[in-house]
Amino acid sequence: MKKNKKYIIGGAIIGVAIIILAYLGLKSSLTYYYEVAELVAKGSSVYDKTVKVGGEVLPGIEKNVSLAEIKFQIVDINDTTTTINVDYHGSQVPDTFKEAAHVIVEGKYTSQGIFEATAIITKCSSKYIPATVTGVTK
Amino acid sequence: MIASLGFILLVIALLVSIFAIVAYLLGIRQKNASLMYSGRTGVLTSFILVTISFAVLTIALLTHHFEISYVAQHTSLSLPTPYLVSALWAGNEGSLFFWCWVVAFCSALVVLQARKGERELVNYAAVILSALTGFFLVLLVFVVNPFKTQSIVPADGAGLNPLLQNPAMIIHPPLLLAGYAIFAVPFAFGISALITRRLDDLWVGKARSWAILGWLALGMGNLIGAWWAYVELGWGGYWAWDPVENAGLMPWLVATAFLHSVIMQRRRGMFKVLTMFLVILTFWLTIFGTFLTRSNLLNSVHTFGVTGIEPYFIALLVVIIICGIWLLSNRSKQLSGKNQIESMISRDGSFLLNNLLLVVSAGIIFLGTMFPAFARWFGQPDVTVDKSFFNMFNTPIFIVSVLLTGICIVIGWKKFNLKDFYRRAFIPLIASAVIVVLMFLVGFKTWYALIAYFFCFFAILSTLWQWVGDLSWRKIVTEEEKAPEIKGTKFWASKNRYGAYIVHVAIALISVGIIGSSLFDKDQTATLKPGESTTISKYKLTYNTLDVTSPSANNTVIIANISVMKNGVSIGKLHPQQTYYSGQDQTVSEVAIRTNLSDDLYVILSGWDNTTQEVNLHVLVNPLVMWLWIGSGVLLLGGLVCFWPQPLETMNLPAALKPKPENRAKKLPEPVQKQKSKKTKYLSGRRK
Repeated sequence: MKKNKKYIIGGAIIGVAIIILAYLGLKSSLTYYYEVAELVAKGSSVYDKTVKVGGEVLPGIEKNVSLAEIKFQIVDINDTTTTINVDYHGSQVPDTFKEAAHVIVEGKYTSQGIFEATAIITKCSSKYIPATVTGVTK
Repeated sequence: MIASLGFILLVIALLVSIFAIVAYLLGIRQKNASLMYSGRTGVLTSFILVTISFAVLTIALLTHHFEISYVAQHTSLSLPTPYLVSALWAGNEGSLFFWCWVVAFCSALVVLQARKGERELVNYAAVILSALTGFFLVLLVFVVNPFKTQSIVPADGAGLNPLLQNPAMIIHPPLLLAGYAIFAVPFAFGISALITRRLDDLWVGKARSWAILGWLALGMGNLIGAWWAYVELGWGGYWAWDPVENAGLMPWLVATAFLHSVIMQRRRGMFKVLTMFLVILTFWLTIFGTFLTRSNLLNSVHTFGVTGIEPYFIALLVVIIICGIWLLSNRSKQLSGKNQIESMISRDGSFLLNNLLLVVSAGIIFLGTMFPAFARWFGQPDVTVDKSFFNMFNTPIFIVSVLLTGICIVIGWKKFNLKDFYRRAFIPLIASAVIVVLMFLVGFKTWYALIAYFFCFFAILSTLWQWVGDLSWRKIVTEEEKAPEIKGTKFWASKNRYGAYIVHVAIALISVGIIGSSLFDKDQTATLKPGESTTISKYKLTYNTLDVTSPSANNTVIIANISVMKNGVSIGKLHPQQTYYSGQDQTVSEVAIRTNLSDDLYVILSGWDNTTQEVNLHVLVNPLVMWLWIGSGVLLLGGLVCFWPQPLETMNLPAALKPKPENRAKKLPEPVQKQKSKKTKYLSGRRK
């Protein structure tokens, strides 16, 4: 009995230790997330740091196929006066990326006021419910 | 009309479930068998009512009753029939309804299967399962009514998200949900055993087969989800450590630990507390997963919106923790095992270590998943946890687990025995080493990949070697292995063992795929004009033309024609495409995948220009992905072998329950027993 308990308690201690280690390691894997207005308010303190920014895509997406580049603007979801320009270079554009989509862009905000995105993640209001639903039920 | 019918059935089912709980509890307290029998009838009635109500919703979906909001939101007139049915679990209301139905179904099976001598255990389990059915019925009746009607009936529904119109999406959600719900049964038996203090192997035996079924459903659900993400979502990967994926993985990991702990308890009479703890934790994680996908807790890419069910789930989660801890601490004396672990270098030790790793892995995933929410609660700025965190900590755990899969086969129970070890491990070790050296000579120079592959090969070969040994000469099986459970070398007689062998090989095959595709994938983007080409690894892709067609009024298909050369030899054409659905204003990528056993060539058409005919292509070479899917198939096979009911003759039953073929004919015609009604039979079978 005692021996089993020893192993279980020993194991539990090791397990907890690993999880604490993981917690400490977590810090290096964190990316800060801001709304558009928060990012703009932060100003120069966030320049050239990798962050994620959430907002809504405004009409006027410019796609340049020969440069494999997409330029668009995102607006803060609550504060519709604050917008930022996003430049995305790459080819991993989610299917649900379109005007009025809620997106999270990951990349760096530069002192020129342009967000150089390395990834676009679309945030559907739900995986299961298409956006058009709200129009139908109301 | 049809909506009220469905809703009223749910209300009655809720009342019947409450009745069943009261009848059982009163019956147990007063030792009144007919009250208990009423409880049993209540459980069955509740199941029938939920089933009819579920059928009503199905009919409403099939016949386009758009006055019901749920039907209008998830289907449309043009949706093909299979997807009309899959709409049952496409939304929040429907998926909770399905959860509820699975629990009701399991409860009915549990009370129907109760044998003599198990009634006490089954009674409490039925109470717990009825309470759980009741919990979901409360949600369905008061919070997320799937039969809610709307005053303005639209002419057509909104339809199903085109991304979800894939065959995998018909089976992936119900498998996951069923996997979640089935774990209610092992949990109910565990808690029932704690309450009744029947902490012997009876509950474990009952819980095991249900746990295997749940484990299999959850595992296959996750794998099919991964496959869907790979072929449909078009980002070239199959697992993104998204909170919803994590929600499905955590209970699976802990359930794996539980199934191993069950073996420890049954074969060696050890670690009863651990087994109990793991079954409670598994169930807690399934409820947590159900909650996570439906709460606003996290910014996941795929959660349902705000639904108002959070407080109910939080309450349930808290109740499970408090009751679990209280019962565990209160019964800890009765839970002490009869055996001790003798050496860590034994199969016992490898099981214990493996269970520890699985739980720690689940803990790390939990931490990473929940950290953004924790940070917010403590007033920290919003953060997201990168994939690198999950990979960094889970990869070593995962690789050691694979090694343990090989080791547990080659070392015996209890103690390390060098002679046995040598007999079992020598050939697999040498063979794996030879393969790895050959890989090195061929040009694999990544040392950590070689180590990981060595572990995989060792796991596969040692399992197969042991199997060959079992079949051909008995010498390989040592004295201690001749436990009552292992009667012979016939496959079905010890199917649990062979099922486990198959599952272990499957896990190693899946590992081969995961390691290959995550360490050696190549990724390239190219902008091409017609006639231009790009080269990736040994493939050369030439872009020929762009075709734009409109197969129907509301969709346009854009196809890039690409010819592929491999090592200078033409191997055919690929057609990555994009379909634009004007109804939903959405494009859906159709990736082109050329798959074989060594690697997948994966091409995404990510942009095109109608005037210049230029295209953006995203090309990936994912090595060995095929082995992930092959391993999944093998996993299904092994899981089914484990789950398949054992032939009665080979079961290790108490002598009284064993069929005696020679006496059977004489014993059967007992007139007294035949005339007994079902109910009196039930009553006479009851424990005093």
